[in-house]
Amino acid sequence: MKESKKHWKGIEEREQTTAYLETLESEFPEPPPRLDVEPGAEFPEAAVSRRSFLTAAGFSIAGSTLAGCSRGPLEKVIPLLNRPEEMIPGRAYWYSSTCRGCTAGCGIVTKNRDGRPIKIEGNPEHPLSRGGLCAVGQAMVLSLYDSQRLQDPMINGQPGNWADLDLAVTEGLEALSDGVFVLTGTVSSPSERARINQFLARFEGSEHIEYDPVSCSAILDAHQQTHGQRRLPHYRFDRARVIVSFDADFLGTWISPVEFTKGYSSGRTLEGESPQLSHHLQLEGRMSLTGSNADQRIKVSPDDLFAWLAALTRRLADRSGVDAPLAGPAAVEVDQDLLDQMVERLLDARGASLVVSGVNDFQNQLLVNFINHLLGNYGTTLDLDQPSFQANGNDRRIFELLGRMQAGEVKALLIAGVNPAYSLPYADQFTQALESIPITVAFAEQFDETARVVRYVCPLHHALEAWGEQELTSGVISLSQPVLAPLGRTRSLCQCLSSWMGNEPSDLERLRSHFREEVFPRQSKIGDFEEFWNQSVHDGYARVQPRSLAAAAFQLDALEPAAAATLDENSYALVLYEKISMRDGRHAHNPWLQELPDPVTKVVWDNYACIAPAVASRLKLQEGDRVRVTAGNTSLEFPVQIQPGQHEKVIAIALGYGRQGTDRFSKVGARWIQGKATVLEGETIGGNAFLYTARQGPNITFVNAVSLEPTGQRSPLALTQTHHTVTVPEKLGGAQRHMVRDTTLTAYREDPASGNHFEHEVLQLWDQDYVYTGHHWGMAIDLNRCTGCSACVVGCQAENNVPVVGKDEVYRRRDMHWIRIDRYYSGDDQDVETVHQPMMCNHCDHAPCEAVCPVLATVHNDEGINQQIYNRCVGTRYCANNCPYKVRRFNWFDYRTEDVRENLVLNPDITTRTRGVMEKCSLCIQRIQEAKYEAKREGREMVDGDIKIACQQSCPADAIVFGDMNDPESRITQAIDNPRHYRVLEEMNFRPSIGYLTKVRNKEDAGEGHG
Amino acid sequence: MSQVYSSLRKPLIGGHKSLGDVTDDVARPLERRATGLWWMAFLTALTVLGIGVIAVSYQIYTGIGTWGLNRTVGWGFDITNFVFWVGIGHAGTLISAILFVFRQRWRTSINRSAEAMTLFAVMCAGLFPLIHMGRPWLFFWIAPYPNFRGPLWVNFRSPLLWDFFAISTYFIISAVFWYIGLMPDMATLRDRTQSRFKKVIYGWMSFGWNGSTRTWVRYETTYMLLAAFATPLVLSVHSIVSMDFATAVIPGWHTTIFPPYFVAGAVFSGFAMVLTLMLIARKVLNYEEYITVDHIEKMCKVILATGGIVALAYSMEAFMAWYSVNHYERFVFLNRALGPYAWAYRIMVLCNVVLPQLLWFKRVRRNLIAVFIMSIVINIGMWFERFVIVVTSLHRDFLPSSWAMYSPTIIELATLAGSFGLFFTCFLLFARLLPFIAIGEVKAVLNYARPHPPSSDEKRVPTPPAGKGELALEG
Amino acid sequence: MKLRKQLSLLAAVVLVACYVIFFSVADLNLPGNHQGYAPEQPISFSHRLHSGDLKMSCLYCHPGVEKSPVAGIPAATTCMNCHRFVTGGWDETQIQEQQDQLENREAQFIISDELAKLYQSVGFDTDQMAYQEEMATGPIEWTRIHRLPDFVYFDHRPHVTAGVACQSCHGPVETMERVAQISTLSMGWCVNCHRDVNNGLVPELVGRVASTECGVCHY
Repeated sequence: MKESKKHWKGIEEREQTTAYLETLESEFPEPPPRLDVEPGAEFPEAAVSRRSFLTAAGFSIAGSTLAGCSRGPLEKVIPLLNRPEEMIPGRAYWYSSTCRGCTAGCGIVTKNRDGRPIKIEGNPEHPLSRGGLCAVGQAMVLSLYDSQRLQDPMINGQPGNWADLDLAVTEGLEALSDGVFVLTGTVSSPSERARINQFLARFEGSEHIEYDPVSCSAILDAHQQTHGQRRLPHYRFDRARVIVSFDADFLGTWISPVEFTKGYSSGRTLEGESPQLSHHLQLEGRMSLTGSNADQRIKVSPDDLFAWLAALTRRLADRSGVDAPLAGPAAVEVDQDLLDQMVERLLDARGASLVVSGVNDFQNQLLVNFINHLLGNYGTTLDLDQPSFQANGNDRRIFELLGRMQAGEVKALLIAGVNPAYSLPYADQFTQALESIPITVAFAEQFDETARVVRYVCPLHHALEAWGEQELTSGVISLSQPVLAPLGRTRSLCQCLSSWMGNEPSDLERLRSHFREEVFPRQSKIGDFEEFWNQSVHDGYARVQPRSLAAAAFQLDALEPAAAATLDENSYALVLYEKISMRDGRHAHNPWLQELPDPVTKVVWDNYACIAPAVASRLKLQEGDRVRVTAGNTSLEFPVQIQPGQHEKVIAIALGYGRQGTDRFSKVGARWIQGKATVLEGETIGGNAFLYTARQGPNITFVNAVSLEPTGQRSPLALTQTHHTVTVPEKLGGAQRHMVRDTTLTAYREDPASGNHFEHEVLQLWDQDYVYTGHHWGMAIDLNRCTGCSACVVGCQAENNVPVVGKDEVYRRRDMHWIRIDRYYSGDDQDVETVHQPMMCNHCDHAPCEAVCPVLATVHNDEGINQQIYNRCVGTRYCANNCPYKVRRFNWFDYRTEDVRENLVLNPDITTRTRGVMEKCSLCIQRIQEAKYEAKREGREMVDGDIKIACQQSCPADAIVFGDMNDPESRITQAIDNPRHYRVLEEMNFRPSIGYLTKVRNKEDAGEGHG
Repeated sequence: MSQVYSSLRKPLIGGHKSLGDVTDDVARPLERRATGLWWMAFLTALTVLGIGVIAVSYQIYTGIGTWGLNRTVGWGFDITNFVFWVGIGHAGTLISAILFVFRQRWRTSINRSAEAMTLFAVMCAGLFPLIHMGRPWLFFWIAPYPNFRGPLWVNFRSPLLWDFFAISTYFIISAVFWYIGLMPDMATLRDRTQSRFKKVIYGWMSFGWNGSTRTWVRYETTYMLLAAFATPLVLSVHSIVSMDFATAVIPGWHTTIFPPYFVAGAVFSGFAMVLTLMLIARKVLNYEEYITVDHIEKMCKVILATGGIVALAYSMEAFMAWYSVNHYERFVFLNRALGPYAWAYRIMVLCNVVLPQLLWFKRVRRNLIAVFIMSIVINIGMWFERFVIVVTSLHRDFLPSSWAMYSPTIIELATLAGSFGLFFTCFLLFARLLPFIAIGEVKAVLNYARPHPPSSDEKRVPTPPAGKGELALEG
Repeated sequence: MKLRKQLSLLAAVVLVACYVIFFSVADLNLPGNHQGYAPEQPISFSHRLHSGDLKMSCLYCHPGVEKSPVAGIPAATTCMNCHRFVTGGWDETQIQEQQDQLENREAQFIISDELAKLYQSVGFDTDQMAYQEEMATGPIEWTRIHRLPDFVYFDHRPHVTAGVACQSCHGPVETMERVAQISTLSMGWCVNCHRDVNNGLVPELVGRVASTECGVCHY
């Protein structure tokens, strides 16, 4: 894959760039033919573009997978009218761009086959994400082909056209001299910000308000207070030797998870002479993905969190002889021993420690700043001089705006990329106030809650259809380029604003001029602007001189003494959190993400109230029983999910559910007499937990005191895995099973193989096994790096056309993911340790599945791959029964969707499986073949790293290594030689080709770990 | 055929039947119009069969997903029923072949119907491997046949393939064996019937049988040979079926004890089914003199014996699990006894081990009601044995992350019912259209086939069995 | 006597049945086998003329074979590289030229009907001999001949790089007026060729290895 990327980058683009780039925009006169989803859509007759035809050709040449398996007798094959040099049908091309799944802006490359993007992968050269990409990013390609994306502008709820809308809006704006407001999410693009300000310049007292639904505004506010600038520091987890996180899910959803995961895992490497393993301490009430990876996890209910923070601050202040204006000792007393340990660790790692807090509370963040100041972390692990622009939301301003709206000062409100009618606290007040505003415009991809209540709806481009640029952290500029024609009659925000301002430079022009004036001067490497521009577009990013943004020193007097708010006894603390899949709800229309199991709870297609086992037993609640969670006048019902390791006083509910229009999934998956719909018509998937958010001081708070009462009803949750520990239930023998193995750092220092001593005498029938003379493909997964973020799951799904089966099918344990992440607990319910173990076909050299298939549909090849031949399979399921790892997946029904547009995402290099056929991980054999053919074509031997398989490339933690076990130099061989290396169920002599490296926790006590 | 009978031996057939009586008794039900009772039973069976047909068609049209299976439990009712029915089949062949080889002459009055039962049971059994496929329309890929794919052959290592051969062989041999046995009776019917049509049909079916000595000799030889053929099949078929499990790696399946254990179990359940059918038949068709209480008792003894073997097998399994120190194996058996499917396991033990012990008592063995109930109980128990083996082994295997539960859907239940519908439909048709008892063979064991018949009726001249030829020639 | 009559009758019936079945199967074209399929194409393009008489390389029009799984159908503009100058067949131009000389008028300009379709598709105005973009009617929709099932992944690259001649699968295209599928393209056909290669029975490919693993084509 890498090679083909280089190939394209190297030669053709060099010659073609200017022509290619200039034509890019004009190339897309109209959507490609044959893609018309809704009958109404008719396309102009004019000559059709290159990419359109490639797409068309793609259908007949390679992509006939779309048509299912019918062999039409007569089939047309349509060549290009005019084939550009660098375009060869059937070949994959890679374009770099920037992910817009969240505000983090990771670098991506999109794989284009015959004119349509079919896969998104991390861009290895990108300075922040460095090749990683999260599950959301992987799934963005599907939302591109979402057939329910807005196609046309809407006026008063009726589909209209741009001409009318432009006319109406411009006329409306002409009449106004003030009171125009633009409400957006975080805008990290200077050019876009400039365009918005130009637009607003014409109006008195008009404002551009940035607002993040799941806000970390308090961090910026706190820095305003303590450092004089409202900034978000650029956190450097890669430099941190001690990480103390107060309820910040930085590996899952906090600010820039992929970048942080990269840094985090780079700080936890055991290779080399003296293993350096950062110590990660997590204080939290719920069980977060980050908490599940912590070396030490302290259960703290959110109201005690502040007390802990205060205690820590005081202790550190005393130790470093600073007397700070702090409140007296809090009511709740904290565990002094733990506190001492914490303080010692932090002081040992002065300047190399990092204390973060995910609580959106001003006081809380003030203390965090003070702590980091005391530890001298500013300038090392927190960078304020080259801050991050990945979250600029300002809660204060949004509440001001709400006030103005109610006061009638707002004459026109333009809402872009956010969905306040859904996600704002007091959203109902917002929508009411909205009605009285003469001009309300929503820029949206979906017909979301906000779009339903405004006058004018402007359909936005998908990120892959638009030009754009983002300055993520000072000096790092990430570029987006369109990789196909807009599929609908959509625009970008700036296009709209420009056209309403009367001048219409294309986005490309605007961007180029911005680069010429703003960015180009900030670097000196490349003299010629065109070259610089081409290089940037090609790379997908540009590193330039960071603006001189020196922050003021820490001001001690900024601190305000504050006491912890405590919760009354009989109520619970509701913690609202983001799921890695739904985030703030913007991805609720993406079936891949809806069906992605939560890394910790393993639940799909729903949100729920997580409660501690103790609470469950006290209230006699089973998993799936519905409870009513009441806070003030907000009262919703959720099924409960019993979460080991959660604090007794905490109820955790995921945000991002209960989105309008999610009943579109009522028909997803199989329909049969006993099958249940994923969601009923007119209902929503899950409930909207944003209703529990409230204003607390200047900020939106995501913690709330609630009461909990069982309702007596049930609505079973669809889990891919129930709460199984690595220990078999006591009643049933209670034996340890050693498929996950872990140890502690101290034990590891003594003996690298500690926790891995389970040699069994492997009984072998043959004195000589089959010898693999050529390649012998294998994989190793480092459990110490894997955080369970599940990016690989979606990456695999996208690469291998894994179908979406719907809630009921998952409930029946028929999930189809080829790679799953097994989550095992150890310890008791109160205080658990968690291990995440990716599990896919182990490609056993003595594969039990191969012996039993009557029709030879699954056989071993001479490179150690266990092949599954879909077209030969008759579906006896014998292989799946005989699979010790239970990784085989069966097509119980015809899961293929008939959505023509959605099917454009299918990978033409993989057969779409029909009903009654077994399938499983193929080690991305199509990528192996591609790499081989390319090597053959270039007449060279294959080298380690030629092949990057889907799960491997997506892993932000670089936990997965794939390669040729016969190549002594390859990374896989090194991994196998690692004393931590083991294979699951190796005592059974299945000879799996997939291996694992034991997890090492940075703990003193030399427990032998599991088993 | 000249045997010397001890005058002390209790006659196998009661009620001083003459040769003519036997012919009349057996042929009568075929010659009179069907009774209301028969119609009632037949229509019921047909309806149930219909339900099954609907269920299966729906499943094939919609997908295997209409069964309660999942990624962990890939086999449930389908294979359970398959093994159950194959097991049922065994009694028939055992009675007709093995008992014949061992000259157990009491078999004569039940072998015809028992063998018919075998055929129908095997038909039901053969159904399930076909419909349990994800793509049943490609079932023929299981068979090695020349093709244009290179050619591409089948996997001779796969027990499913062995099944294919085992079952088909078994069915063919049993069918031929059964038909050969029918021929002389066909001739008898041919000669009795008045209707032209029936004459032609029976004529064809009897292959132009003329009761000449030569015909009889040929017949006896062929019958003997086929019996010899069929005898090993009784052992081989269920051994091979058991290898579906024994050759797998799943704890609870991977057990060397399975072949003998399965064969014993098969005979156990088979005889139970024979009992169920016979007890009804002898009442309805009033064959009390032919299928005497002694017959019933003998079968009970066979059940007792095989039941003992089954019980031993259960305990051996558990013992080996403990003795092997393989904690996966141990877990499976603990999980069976104490896990979520403990109820199934307990039913199995109760029905197959505990209750059959009652058969040690003669009073129970000779009490028809008790025996009837017992036969039903054992059939239930043996069905659950297969359920326990298939499901509880699968649902919790090596990796706890994949543990799952299985519960059948209405489609599966309907399919199971349908298989019973098929079985009884066929059996009722058989009882209606073909001689339920082997006339020829029974005549050979009539009590006055002795040198000095204590016959009360002097008019009749005792005729040697071969003499039946004259009877045949009259027509 | 009766029995024998019946049996002999039966035997006769069975014999006839076998006979019929056997011979009907022998020349039965299995579903999916399009051997000999030679559809009419929108433009009666002659491979005989171009690659046969004019000895053009296959790769001139089908460059994909080297770089991509699919050979690809040439874009109309590829044809135009020559046909913006060559507008008619050789013979008819000769005849026309003689005719002109006889009637001694200046040479006339011939456009063959087939090429007219091409010019239409790319919008080539033969009066000014120049492109008129707006006149373009879009590319020619050829009828596909060689077609594999969707679960088969054939890749031209390894075959071409290994030096397999196009003709060994596509037949003597350079002699075909209208291209036909000469191979069955059945799995057996592929596999047996691969086996021959491995057994060194294919002279030009001796020593090479052609995998017969399922996963080479099916994934």
